[in-house]
Amino acid sequence: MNAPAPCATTRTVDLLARWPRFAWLLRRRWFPLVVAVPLLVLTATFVSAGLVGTPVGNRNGLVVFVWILWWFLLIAVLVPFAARSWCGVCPVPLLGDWLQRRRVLGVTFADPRQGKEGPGTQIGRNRYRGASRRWPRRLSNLWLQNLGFLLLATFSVVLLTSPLASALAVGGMVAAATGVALLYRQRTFCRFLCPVGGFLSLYSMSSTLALRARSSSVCGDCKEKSCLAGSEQGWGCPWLEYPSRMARNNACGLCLECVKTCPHGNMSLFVRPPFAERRLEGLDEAFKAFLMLALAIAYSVVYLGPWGGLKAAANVAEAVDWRAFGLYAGGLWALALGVVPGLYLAAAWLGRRLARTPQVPARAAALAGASTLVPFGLLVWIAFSVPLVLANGSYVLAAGSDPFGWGWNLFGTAAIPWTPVVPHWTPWFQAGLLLVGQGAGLRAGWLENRELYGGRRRALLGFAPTAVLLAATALLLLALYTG
Amino acid sequence: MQAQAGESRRRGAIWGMGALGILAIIGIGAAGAGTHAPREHEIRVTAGRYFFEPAVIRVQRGDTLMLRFAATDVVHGFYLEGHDLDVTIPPLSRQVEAKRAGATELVEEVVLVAERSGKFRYRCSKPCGAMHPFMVGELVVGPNHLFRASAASAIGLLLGGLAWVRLRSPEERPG
Repeated sequence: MNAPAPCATTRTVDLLARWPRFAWLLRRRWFPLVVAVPLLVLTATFVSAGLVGTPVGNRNGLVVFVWILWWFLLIAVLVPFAARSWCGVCPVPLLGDWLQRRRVLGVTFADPRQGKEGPGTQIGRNRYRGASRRWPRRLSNLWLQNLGFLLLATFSVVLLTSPLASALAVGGMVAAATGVALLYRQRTFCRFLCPVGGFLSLYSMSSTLALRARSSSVCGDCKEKSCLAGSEQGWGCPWLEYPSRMARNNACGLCLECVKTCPHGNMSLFVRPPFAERRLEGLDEAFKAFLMLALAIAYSVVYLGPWGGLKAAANVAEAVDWRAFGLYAGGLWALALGVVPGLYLAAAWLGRRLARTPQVPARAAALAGASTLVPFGLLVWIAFSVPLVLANGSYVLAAGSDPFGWGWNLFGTAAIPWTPVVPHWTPWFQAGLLLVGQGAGLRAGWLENRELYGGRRRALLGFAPTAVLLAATALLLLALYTG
Repeated sequence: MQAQAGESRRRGAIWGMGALGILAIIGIGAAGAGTHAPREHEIRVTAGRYFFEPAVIRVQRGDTLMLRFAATDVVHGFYLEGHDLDVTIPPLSRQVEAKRAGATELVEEVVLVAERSGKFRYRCSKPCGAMHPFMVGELVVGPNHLFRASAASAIGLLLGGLAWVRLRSPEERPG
């Protein structure tokens, strides 16, 4: 499934072949910068609103646009249908990119055969400013992103409700991305440190969009390897990937540099069936899946549930009850690092015992079990996000006209009252999403276990405990959302 | 070979959908079983930052709810999803402002007949602080068809999926 084969099969559509004008657009050097720069301006505006605008969260442009509109579009639209396209236009690393490249649109091309003189560091056929160090191999995984996301998630109530905290978080990410860009090569921050990038990496596997090589033989015969090394037309893959051999969406930030640099026009965007990738390659990825599921459950309880005591415990900035917050944070960490991983790892272990296959490595069984959570986790997060936008989406219209809460009315929508949109349909949407997620999770887990265990009977025994646990998780969430 | 795989997938889908449908019907049937004489419930709803008390109200379809309200700190709202009801609850006052079908009136009690089954959240509709958007409670009106049917479907997916794998998936390479 995840072999480095070309994406062009009967069940995929080559978008660039089908729409030559789209291909022309993607090969321009000003794309996707033409989208990223306005987003940078918007981000700067909203961060300013967070710093100096109204402290009332639901009237502040930063809180409303980031945590209602952006979040919903990201998790429910972009990730399922456009993979990591957000990473391609994300304004956070733009300043760092410029400091490394000292070019806005152009490319610093330097043929390594003609000597390596000149300012900066030569990587492939491009030159970069800054230290351009290699990121340590032992940190080249998702563990730091897991930790960073869990830390942010622990203080999520503060981030979601305080414009100042949100501004500091977004500003801090820009500062960190810029600092890392000065020390380490290319998009090291995005690849190994960005807390958002971690879950985008995991869930983009389920996306219907993928950037791949059209033909592996063209890549095999290619001498230039411009997708990796760069060329006059573009930079070598900023995401430190080898695009022509890419078989998963995880580390592709859809910056489209390889589409520009490939001298054979062999890189393209493909539309494919949903949930096409399922293989997890390390325990860091498995723990990302466990962590994201645990947080989705916890948030569903805290934010969507009716338990005021939990909200008070999580709301440390306002209630300033550190003891209650400590209990809340301890519970959250126990759920994310102990209960959910423990249950799913135990299910995989039990399955391996039932299948009587000591030759199957325990780690492989754990990864096969965790693969169920790639599609399921994504659908759970969408189900969690639906009521946020249905109930509170109208705040976007009001805050759009008055992002600082200073009494402006830029688009005539500032006075629109809070107007929930079909909020009573929420449980129906959520139930449907959970069932689709469970079905896709069962399929992913079964296919991975079948491949791992070989025979059908052993695979069935090996997968059964995880399948039962997945159903129990779905039932728990159904009870929360609809029961 | 491809045609066989396609046929297998098609049959698998039919099996799965069949199992799902049967269990969903059983779930709905079980939820609707039994008769229920409508009852009246006098409920005092207390709203404070950021909670409702009671947090969950459980009644049966056809029951009448007589709701009285109190706010413990600042002005709160009681917006009941799917019921066109929005109540403004001032602190230290028995009277509340109830808005229904476009009309607003000052009342001490709001009477509501639970005509639709399912889960309906009530939300604070008056900005009351940082966690205002997450201040919610739940009215659960039985029989809860959606929960029963979706829970039965989740079990159906599990059993149907395992049965399909057991019956339909070919035995591959020996271990």
